[in-house]
Amino acid sequence: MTREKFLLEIDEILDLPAGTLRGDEKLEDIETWDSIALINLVVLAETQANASITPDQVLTCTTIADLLRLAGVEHNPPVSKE
Amino acid sequence: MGTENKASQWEVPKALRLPSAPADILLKRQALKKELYKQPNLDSTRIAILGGSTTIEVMSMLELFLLSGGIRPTFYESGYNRYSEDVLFESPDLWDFRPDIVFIHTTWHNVLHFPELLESEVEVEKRLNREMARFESLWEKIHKELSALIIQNNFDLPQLRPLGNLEASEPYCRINFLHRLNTAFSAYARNHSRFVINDIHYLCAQVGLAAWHDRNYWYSFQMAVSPSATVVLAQNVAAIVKSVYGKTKKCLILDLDDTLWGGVIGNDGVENLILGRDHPVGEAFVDFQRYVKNLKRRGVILAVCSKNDAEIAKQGFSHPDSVLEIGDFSVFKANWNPKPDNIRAAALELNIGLDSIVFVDDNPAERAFVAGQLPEVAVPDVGSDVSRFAEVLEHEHYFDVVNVGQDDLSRSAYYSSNVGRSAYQAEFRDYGEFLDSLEMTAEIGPFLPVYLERITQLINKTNQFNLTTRRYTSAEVETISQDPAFVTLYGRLADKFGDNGLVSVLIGHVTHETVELDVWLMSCRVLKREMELAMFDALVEECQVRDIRKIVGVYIPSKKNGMVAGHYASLGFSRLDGASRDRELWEYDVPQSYSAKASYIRRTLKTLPTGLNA
Repeated sequence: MTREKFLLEIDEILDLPAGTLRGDEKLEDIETWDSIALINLVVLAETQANASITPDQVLTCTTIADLLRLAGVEHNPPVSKE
Repeated sequence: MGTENKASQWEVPKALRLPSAPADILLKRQALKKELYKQPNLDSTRIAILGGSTTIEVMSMLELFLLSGGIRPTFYESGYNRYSEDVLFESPDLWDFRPDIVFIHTTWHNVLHFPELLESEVEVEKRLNREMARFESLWEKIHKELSALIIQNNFDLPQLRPLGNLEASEPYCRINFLHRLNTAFSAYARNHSRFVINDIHYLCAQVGLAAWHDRNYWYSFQMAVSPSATVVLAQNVAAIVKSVYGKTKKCLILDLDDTLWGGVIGNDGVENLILGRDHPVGEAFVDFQRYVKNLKRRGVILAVCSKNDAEIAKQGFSHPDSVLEIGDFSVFKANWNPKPDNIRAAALELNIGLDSIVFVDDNPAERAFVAGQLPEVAVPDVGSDVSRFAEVLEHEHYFDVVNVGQDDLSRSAYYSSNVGRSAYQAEFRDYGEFLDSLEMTAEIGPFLPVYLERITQLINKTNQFNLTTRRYTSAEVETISQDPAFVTLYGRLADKFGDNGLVSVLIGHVTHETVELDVWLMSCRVLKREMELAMFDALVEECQVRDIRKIVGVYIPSKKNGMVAGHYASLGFSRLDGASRDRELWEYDVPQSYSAKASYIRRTLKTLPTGLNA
């Protein structure tokens, strides 16, 4: 799955118009981010990204970019948090 | 209604049908719900979900499947694992909600009285009665005081069976115990109206135990049923609710050639039909006919809709291996008219609505035509393989019935029970006595290196019982834990049923003689256990030791932390004027002598689970 496709899937899970998310958003800033969305993202990562991803790993994500990286579709390097 | 609209209404339920993968349904739920909410004339119902594990996913999926059945639900959701307390102690929120239906979502994880290894049969019997009494006390109270219909899960099976096959036969083993509990639940269901079993014992076998329970989701979210299995579970519960509301289908309309027998009777003649035990496909047709015959026996109306010459078509039922007889069909439409016309005519003759009809045809073009012309008719995608027809019909739960009628839902229906009052209910006079019985012990102290990872995780995922919703990286937490200018406290809580783990975190920074609380959070799984009081007691003690005279509490309201808006007021803090509404400040003077607020939690010294403690 490509980065774009994955972003579109997340748009759908979060009930956002297609193309809303660009990758640099913080999960907490997204209005529709809730526990259902979190569970769904784990399901998405498991089923669509073909990656062996555990809920625990998704729980550590704070941005959309973290999720993309976890799913193996993000090519931009992580921004330093320091 | 325009044709376009009709088509889209048909498309949405289709997305919920076989062969849709559960993952697709999970991921597309938002869009599906939006479409379904557009339907006109939705019935409404009020459902209280009382959970023994996390129920948010169950609720979301149930909403979806009820909507697809024309029912708009309003939900009440109990706190995590508070299915029993909510009822026994009459949670005002639940009582005010006035549910039509109470769904108790418990699983084997919620069994409290499993036998000990090698225990005698007499002892096991006592445990069985105790467990049953516990549940019966809930059911009786719900029936008597809430007058609600109860949907109760029976028990699924654990993946692990330490004693292997012995688990099936020995009374002290979990699997044998669960089977006996299920039998007892079933007996209760038979003897009580307005009580329906949601058979998760079957469902866990249907999806397979490995798919039913996923350890990752259990440990991360306390979901006893995996998301994909939750789809199946919700569909099953929705089927019960739909049948309670009389949404069960009444009539099955069948095609003939290649649906009830193999071959085309008009060309091949009755003697050459593929039907009977001497042919593998013929045997599958016999089995499907038997399945249909059983539907008829329990009251489903049968009809035929086939492109055929009527006289020739009827000969098919004189075939020696035909299970169905011509007399089984209330309406027989074999002609060359378009099928939607025939189905409309059949509905008129039977005086039933199109929405109570299911149409089965092996021909995809006919199915699409009927579905397009008559969107109210259920047209399952049965494919062309007769051996799968029955399975597809069952998957849709079209004809599921429960032994309750519409009257049973009425609030005025009186209830009487001959079941004696349970021992469990009488066990506690009030909530305090219940808390006392939990034998809670808390381990509370300054951050320890071994807990830093869990502390960071809680800080970053807790939303509800979280006064400030401040997030910290693990590096920041580590720095704080070593900095004497901070007060840090973690809390673990255990009770007689097990260890809840590390559930509460508190961080404050000290300036002169004042500590300001930057973080105070608690996991919702220990709500209303007085754990927040125990944390406060520990904080006050810490302040006394360090000569801190004043505690300043910070509350930053968020969309999700409304439950702690009154937290500081309830602890005796006074609100400081002048602070902004986005960031409330509360003040508490540390007294010289202080008496602990938590009265049901015993504090213990730290006992590290890893055995690292001195």
